[in-house]
Amino acid sequence: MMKFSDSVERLSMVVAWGISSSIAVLVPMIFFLGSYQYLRGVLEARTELRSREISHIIEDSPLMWRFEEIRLSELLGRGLTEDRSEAIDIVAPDGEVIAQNRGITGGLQTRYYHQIYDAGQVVAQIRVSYSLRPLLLRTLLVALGSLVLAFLVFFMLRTLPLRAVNESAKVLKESEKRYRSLFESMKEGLAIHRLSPGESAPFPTMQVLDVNPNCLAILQLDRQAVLGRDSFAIFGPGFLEHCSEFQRVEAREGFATFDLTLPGRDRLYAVQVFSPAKGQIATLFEDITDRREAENERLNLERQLLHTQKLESLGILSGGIAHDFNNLLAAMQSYLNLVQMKVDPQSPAFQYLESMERVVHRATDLTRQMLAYSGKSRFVIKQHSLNQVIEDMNDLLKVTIPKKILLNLDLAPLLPPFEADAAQIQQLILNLLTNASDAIGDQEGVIRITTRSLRLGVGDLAKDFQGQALEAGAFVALEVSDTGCGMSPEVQTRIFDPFFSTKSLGRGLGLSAIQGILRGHHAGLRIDSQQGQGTTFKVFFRASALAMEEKNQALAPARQRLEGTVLLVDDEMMITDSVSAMLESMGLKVLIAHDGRQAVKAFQQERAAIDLVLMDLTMPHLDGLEAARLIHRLDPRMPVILSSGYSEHDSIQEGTGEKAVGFLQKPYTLQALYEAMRGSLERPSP
Amino acid sequence: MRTTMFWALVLSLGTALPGLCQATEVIRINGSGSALDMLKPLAESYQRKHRQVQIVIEKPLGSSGAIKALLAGVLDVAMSSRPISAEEAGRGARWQSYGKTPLALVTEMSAPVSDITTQFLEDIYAGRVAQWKPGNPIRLVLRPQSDIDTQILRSLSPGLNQAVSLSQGRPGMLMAVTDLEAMALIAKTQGGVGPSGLVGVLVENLPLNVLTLNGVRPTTGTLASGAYPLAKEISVVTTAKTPAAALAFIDFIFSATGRSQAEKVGVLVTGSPVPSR
Ligand SMILES: Nc1ncnc2c1ncn2[C@@H]1O[C@H](COP(=O)(O)OP(=O)(O)OP(=O)(O)O)[C@@H](O)[C@H]1O
Ligand SMILES: [Mg+2]
Repeated sequence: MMKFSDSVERLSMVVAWGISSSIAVLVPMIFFLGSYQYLRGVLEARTELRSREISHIIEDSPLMWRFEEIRLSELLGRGLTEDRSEAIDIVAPDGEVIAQNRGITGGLQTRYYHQIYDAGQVVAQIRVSYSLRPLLLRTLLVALGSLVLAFLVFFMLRTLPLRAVNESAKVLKESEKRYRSLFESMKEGLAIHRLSPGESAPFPTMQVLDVNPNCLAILQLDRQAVLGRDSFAIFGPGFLEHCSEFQRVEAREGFATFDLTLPGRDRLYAVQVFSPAKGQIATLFEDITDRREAENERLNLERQLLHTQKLESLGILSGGIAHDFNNLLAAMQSYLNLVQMKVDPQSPAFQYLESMERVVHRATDLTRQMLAYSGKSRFVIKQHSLNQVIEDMNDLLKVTIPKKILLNLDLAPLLPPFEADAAQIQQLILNLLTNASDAIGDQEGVIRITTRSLRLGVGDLAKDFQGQALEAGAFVALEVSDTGCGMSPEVQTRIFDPFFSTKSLGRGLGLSAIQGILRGHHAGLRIDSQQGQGTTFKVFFRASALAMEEKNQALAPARQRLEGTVLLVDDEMMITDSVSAMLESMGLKVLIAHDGRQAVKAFQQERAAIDLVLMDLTMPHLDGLEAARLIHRLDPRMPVILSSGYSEHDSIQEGTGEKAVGFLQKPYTLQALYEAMRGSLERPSP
Repeated sequence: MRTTMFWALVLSLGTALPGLCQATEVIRINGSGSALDMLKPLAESYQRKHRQVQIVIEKPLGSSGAIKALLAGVLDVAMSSRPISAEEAGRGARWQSYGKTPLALVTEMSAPVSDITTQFLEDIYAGRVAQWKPGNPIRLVLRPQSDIDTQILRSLSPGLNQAVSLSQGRPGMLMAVTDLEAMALIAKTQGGVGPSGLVGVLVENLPLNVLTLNGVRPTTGTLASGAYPLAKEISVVTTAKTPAAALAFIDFIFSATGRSQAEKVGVLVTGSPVPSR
């Protein structure tokens, strides 16, 4: 750069010197020589003319011409008034001056001699001397003028091109600086390579010409270790793969992009390739590791969201089906129980009825799973002790698990309570247990149920419970681990899909239901499983801050006849028919209403007679909750039992204040109905 | 002009020829044109009386040239219209005054003019007038700067002195070197005008019109009375080497016969009847 402007300066100096000095020297020289030549010409011509005239005079009087003084001097003086630089002598061969005309001469002068002949004899000579002083003076003036001109020319040639050169050099330097700082400060790594066709074609060789600091940081090398080295050696085999692309780009065919991981580095780079000049390749490295991760995460979330939406629509579907099924099953259950009451237990028909009841139970169980999966079956939230819930199930558990499998309970004492629907928690535990025993199968094995309390911090949640929307705090954990077959990672990704099962008779709804229940309770789940080693399901419930209210479980007493009038409200004729039959079988009087409005109306009219209201939750016109509120406005102490297989509502607070509200999960057995009736009818008169 | 000269020469040679048989004596004379004009008739009559004498008068060299030629021994007598210089005297020149003739202003015959004033003359020389009258151009014939006629004219008035200088510097002027040439040039140039010794006009008999100057006619009479201001001296220059025959001729022109003949051609003789030796 500097070299260029220096050489331009030197060149312009030489040119300026050359031109201006030749102006200074040549112009006066040419002027002098030209003028001198002209002068000589004029002198010669004038002298020639004079000599001709003198020859005439001589011809006229060859003897006396020498004395024609006036004539000769007139001749010599002709034309000299304006030019006083000329001196002319006419000199005889003997040296005598015949005539002369003296101008101002002296100093430098030019001379011209011309012979005058008479019949071949030299008779005289004209000697002209001409003073060069005026010419020299004029030449001096011209020289001064051309010196000034030369100086101007020198100045112009020196300054103007230099200024232009300096200007452009400055501009060039600035832009170079600009690009250099861009090159150095850009956050992408930039490397420029020389691409030369390899001696042993088809592979070209590539050499690192320049790299910016960020590129060095990416490479974790210093400049010396990179410059001039083989690019393929430095940027690794991933680079070599794109050899043909480099060649194409170098041949000025657009640009190329590819992803690259550098050897020994777990970062991912997007590489852009372009050709800044012939034979050169530039590669721009952009670290896209984080971006790629974020993208993957986003994809995951999207997939999860999609999954959730799928589950939700599945839940709505299955919930709807379960609701209708429940009503059917409830009616079946009622009639079945009524038939059992009429049939003699000794008759063979009674056994069939019992088998039939078991089928109804299984159908009920199925709809319950479906409801649990829909997440809409969470009706009664109460404070519970996790240990208590498990202990209550103890008999059930023992029946569920084959004899070969050992069940260990490891329940931590003094667990904080948690808020949950006990029935659903039992369903959850049962599902986990059945899965565990299925995993062990016919082999011997151990299933361990563990409870404990723990705190989960923000870090734990982010690490182990991604996407489960948990809040940090105290938790009660339930762990069910088995020594069964375990699961492959592929299976693990699909186990929560409804109807996914690896078992020949599996319905694939157990874990789906668990997922619904967990969602309903805002609980967390972790699975540790290794194929062939066993599985542990860990469920985390948020610990409740409230103190545990101990309830003494009364044993189910024997069935007695009850007295009172029940207002039965349900929009399903099937239910009102079967349930009214069951109630009447208990000795109760039944009033029937088919929706909330009718119920309130009936209550207003028969208020004194009615002792209890048994009401479906989902009904047209006025739903169960609304109707219950209106009834309680009329009589705050009136016991109301709500019943449903399916609810739009999250929860119903039981026994808030004076208002007595109970809940009965559809479908219910005669026994369950009896107990609910008895409990409620007895309560107002303790 | 040359033909005239030639015939003059032939004439003189022709007259001299018979004398050659008896030891011819040649007298070579030259000088100012006016003086030579005066001398021509005198030489003729002298040669008629003295057959052995041949007087050779060539084309006039002018006073200075003739004196130079005389001193160089190429001439026997020089006729001058000016006194000799100290240098010429030092080299042996002897001078004696003879007389003077009016310097007349003459024109070509067709010029519509007979008198000229000093003022008008000044205007002509200064170039302020260019026509005698409408349609008649004035063509002034100049004499060389160093010629005696030019100097005589300058003496007429300071205005004319200046005007003459101006005329000398004007380009493209007609110029005649000798008196004879001047007369011939004026005579043949339409509207021509210039100075000329009266004697030349009378002797050469050219078609010239002699003007009166401020009303005064140039004659020996007006010159003698001082009424005419312009006069041209005529003097004789000899050396110690001048041969006796030449001296005899000089004696003749100074004699009463010579004087009367000279008076006839317009020369006012002022010199003493006997030349000094
Ligand atoms: N403890 C476990 N050990 C090994 N595999 C298990 C375990 N729990 C669940 N699985 C796998 O998850 C699948 C889904 O279980 P899920 O309970 O949802 O359905 P299922 O048990 O096959 O059928 P069902 O609806 O009758 O419970 C099972 O088929 C099984 O492959
Ligand atoms: Mg299962």
